[in-house]
This record gives sequence, structure tokens and C-alpha cells, in this order.
Amino acid sequence: MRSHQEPVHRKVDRLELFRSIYEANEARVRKTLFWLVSQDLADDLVQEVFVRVWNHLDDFRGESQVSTWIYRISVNVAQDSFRKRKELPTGVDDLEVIAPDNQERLLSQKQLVAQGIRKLSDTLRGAFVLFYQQELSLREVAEALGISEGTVKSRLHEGREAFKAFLLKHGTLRGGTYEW
Amino acid sequence: MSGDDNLKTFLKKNDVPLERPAHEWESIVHRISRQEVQPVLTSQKRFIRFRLAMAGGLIAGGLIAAGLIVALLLPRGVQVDENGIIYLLNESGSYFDELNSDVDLDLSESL
Repeated sequence: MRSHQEPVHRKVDRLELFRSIYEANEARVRKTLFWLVSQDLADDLVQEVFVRVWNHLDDFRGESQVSTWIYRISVNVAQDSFRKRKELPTGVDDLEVIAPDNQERLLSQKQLVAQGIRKLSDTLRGAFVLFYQQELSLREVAEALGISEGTVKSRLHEGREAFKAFLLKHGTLRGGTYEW
Repeated sequence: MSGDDNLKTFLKKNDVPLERPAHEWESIVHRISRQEVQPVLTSQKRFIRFRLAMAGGLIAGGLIAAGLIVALLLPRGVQVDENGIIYLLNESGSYFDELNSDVDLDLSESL
């Protein structure tokens, strides 16, 4: 409704600005959503994220970086998607029944890593993905999630331990190669 | 290297390349255009519906008013036959036909 009253040139400027934001952030949004949900859903949710960006473009006050703001929208969109579906974003349960001797053949390490991340709870996964995958600083993660840095640290610690335990359980980590 | 850096390195090695779907930008623009056009169409439809309802109301009101006028203006209890004889309806519902012989009024013209 708001933009109907805008002059045409303002609308064009807004669209150009929006396009530049899309070009600069689309890859990181897709990557974040890929780790937070799944590849199938990620592409749909990327669109949803940018529709929300468009709708709230005028509300962005520049108090944080555009990318941090968009990360926040991405995490919210992913969480909304979980609420709607009320199920795990990946077939983690299927993984449990695969016999260890067939495991390497059936699942690559990359798939196991993705499943290990997606098996984390929603709250741990958001902090984990933004900090370790997207390499945001503690402050940026805190801003993107709307929580304190202390809470981010605690979630990271918990997420790291759970992720490590998952990989150890499925034989991906071999004796002390990685220490975290 | 710290534990955090080790984990970041491990995750980088296990990263998955992702491609942007074709026409994604066009789809997004289509979605935002549609959501902006939709309220306009809805308000236009509402306005048309409102005008149709008003026209319908006026027609119905006009018909009712015309009916009322006809009902009120027509003399109630008076009937004129083909010979111009006037009959008045009495309280019990039967007609006085004496009126025509006693009173010589040419009411047919006035009616």
C-alpha cells in the first residue's frame, strides 16, 4: 500500500537498491538457509527472505550492517518454516538405522556434517551456523539473533559439543585429528 | 590455531557449493509486484461492489417507493365497473350499489 503513493522514480530507486542488496547477500542467505534447513527448502526460503527484506526496507535504520539484518531475517524465516512443518528439516532418523559398515558407502562425510548441524536444536543451530559457517563475530551473531554475547557463547559451546558427539558417534572424526 | 578456528576449517572443507536457481530474481520481483498490486485490485473490486450494491439498493428502493405510492394513491374501497358505476366497499366487505342511484357523481373522470 505504502509504495503506491510513491513517485515512480522513488520506486525505481528502491528497486535498484533492493537488487543491489539481493546481489550482495543472496549467496550467504542461501548458504545459511542450506545449513539451517535443507537444500530443498533453502531455495524457496531465499525468496521469502528477500520478500521480507523488500517489505521492511524502509524500517531498516542502519544501526547494524545490512548483512547482519538479513541474517536475522534468514534465521527468523527458517524458524517460521520449522514451526509450520513441525518436523526435523532432514531425515536424521533414517541415519540412525544405517549399519556402520554401509555408512561410508551410503553417506559422504559432507552429508554427515550437514546432518550433524541440522540435528542441533533450532536455538543452537542458528548460533552455530552464523559463527562457524558464516564466520560472523560474536557481536554480529548476538545482533543477528537478538541475544547477548554471553548467550551466544553458551550456545556455541553446547552446539560444538553436540556436533562433535554426533560425528564421533558416526565415525566421521578420527582420533584427535580435530580438536575443538 | 584455536579450537574454533579448527572447527571453521573443518566445516569449510565440508562445504557444499550451491547454485542460484535460474530466474530467482524474476520470481522475487513477481512476488513483490503481486503483493503490491493485490491490495489495489481488492480495493477496486470493493469499490465496484459498493457501487453495484448502491445501484441495486436504489432500484429496489425506487420499486418499493413506487409500489407504496400506487397503493396509497389508489382509492381504497372504491371500484368502478365497465359501465362507470361506482361501488363502495363497506366494513363487512360487501359493496353498496345504492350509492350510484342516490348520488349522481361522475367519479370515473376524477379517478
